Amino acid sequence: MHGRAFAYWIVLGVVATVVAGAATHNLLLVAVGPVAVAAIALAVSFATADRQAELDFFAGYAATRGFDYVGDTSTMPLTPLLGAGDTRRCTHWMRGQLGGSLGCGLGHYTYEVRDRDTRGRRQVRETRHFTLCVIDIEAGITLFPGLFLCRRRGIFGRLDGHDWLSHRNRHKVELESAALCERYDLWVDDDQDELLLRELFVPSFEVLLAEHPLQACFEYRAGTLVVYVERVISDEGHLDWMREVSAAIAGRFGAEIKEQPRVA
Amino acid sequence: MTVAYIAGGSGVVLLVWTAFAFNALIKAHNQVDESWSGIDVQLKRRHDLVPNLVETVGAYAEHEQATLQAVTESCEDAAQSSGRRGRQAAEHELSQAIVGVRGLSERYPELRASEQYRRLQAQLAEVEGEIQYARRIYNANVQRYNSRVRGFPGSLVCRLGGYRPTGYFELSPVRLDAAAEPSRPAAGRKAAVA
Repeated sequence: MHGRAFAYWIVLGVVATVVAGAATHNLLLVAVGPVAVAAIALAVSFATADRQAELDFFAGYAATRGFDYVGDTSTMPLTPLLGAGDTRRCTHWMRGQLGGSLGCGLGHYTYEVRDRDTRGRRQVRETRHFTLCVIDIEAGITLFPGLFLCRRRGIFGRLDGHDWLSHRNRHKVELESAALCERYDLWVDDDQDELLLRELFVPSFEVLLAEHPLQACFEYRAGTLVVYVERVISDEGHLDWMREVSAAIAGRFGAEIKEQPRVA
Repeated sequence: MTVAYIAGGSGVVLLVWTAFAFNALIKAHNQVDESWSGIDVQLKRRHDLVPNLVETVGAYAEHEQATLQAVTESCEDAAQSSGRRGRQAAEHELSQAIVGVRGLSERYPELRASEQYRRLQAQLAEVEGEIQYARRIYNANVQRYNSRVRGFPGSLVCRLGGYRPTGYFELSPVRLDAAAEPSRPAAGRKAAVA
């Protein structure tokens, strides 16, 4: 609803409350009604404008970076994060090329954990928001069965909300860089080739992860790489960083996969 | 009785505190050792490239046997060197020798234009970059470890395991020509004093 139509609706609402107040001999309705109608109209207009501005921003961002704006969508639950919780949704989703050759999806992701109350009604217990970049690197599916670089949670990590990553049949690996170990926990599937893992984490890759200001985490499973940060990014600079760090991580995987004779 | 409880409780707290401090120190020490092995891997990759480099350059610059001999000997010395300080000195010599070989390409245009030589230079540049990153990780770990050893309570418990502050690893990157430079900027030339 735009411009004049919106103004007509406000005037109509105000007149309606005044008439209703007069008809019912209710002075309070005559006095407060128009103010309430105006306030509601303002709130609705602000919310609409805000949503439209957000939509315009993401559509514009996608267009300038060579991405296609998809909007609301869903993803396949290929990694633990993409299958986390009871309900999941992707918003402001963009599809395009990363580094010129890798197809990727970039956008916001939310999952909700639900449980039942005493009356048996389902209610949302926890809602988690992410910004993520999903990249398809199918060639590494046999080399890296499951690799999860998560934010370090520490001793009280379990209390810090829902952990979507199951640690069954997985073990934690300590890398050489103390700075990296302070920032992240690396979990790998038990059947992961340790030598290959060490080859993947070359010193330059470790330094990139340990020093990148975005502090992005990633998961690689079933040939899908998910680079994520546990917050909603809605500005151009941070989205660019997200694309850059995702491209760097995907590039490292690609380089390592290429070096393996059985894949190349 | 109360005094005994307080003394006992304090003793337990002190014991737990010492155990945590000691564990943290061991972990920091292990990380230093692990990051050293990271440098070692990259240095060995560089050693592996030297015979190819000598062979390729030798094919174009037959009259430069002294320079090629020097780089071969430096590589052997570096491979046989022991201890971190000894290794640092030997690797520094090897870096200098590689710079010498690289200088030959200025005098032999055919060598400079050779596809194999350019590929080797690119590989060398990549390894040099990784050495500098590995060195950065190592030195950062050493700094953390030394802070624990010199700081409180590490300074009290380090004597239990004979832990002492350790030196940084210093190795200037070999400067290569612009065509073979890695895409990422290498770390600082001199990060710390051993």
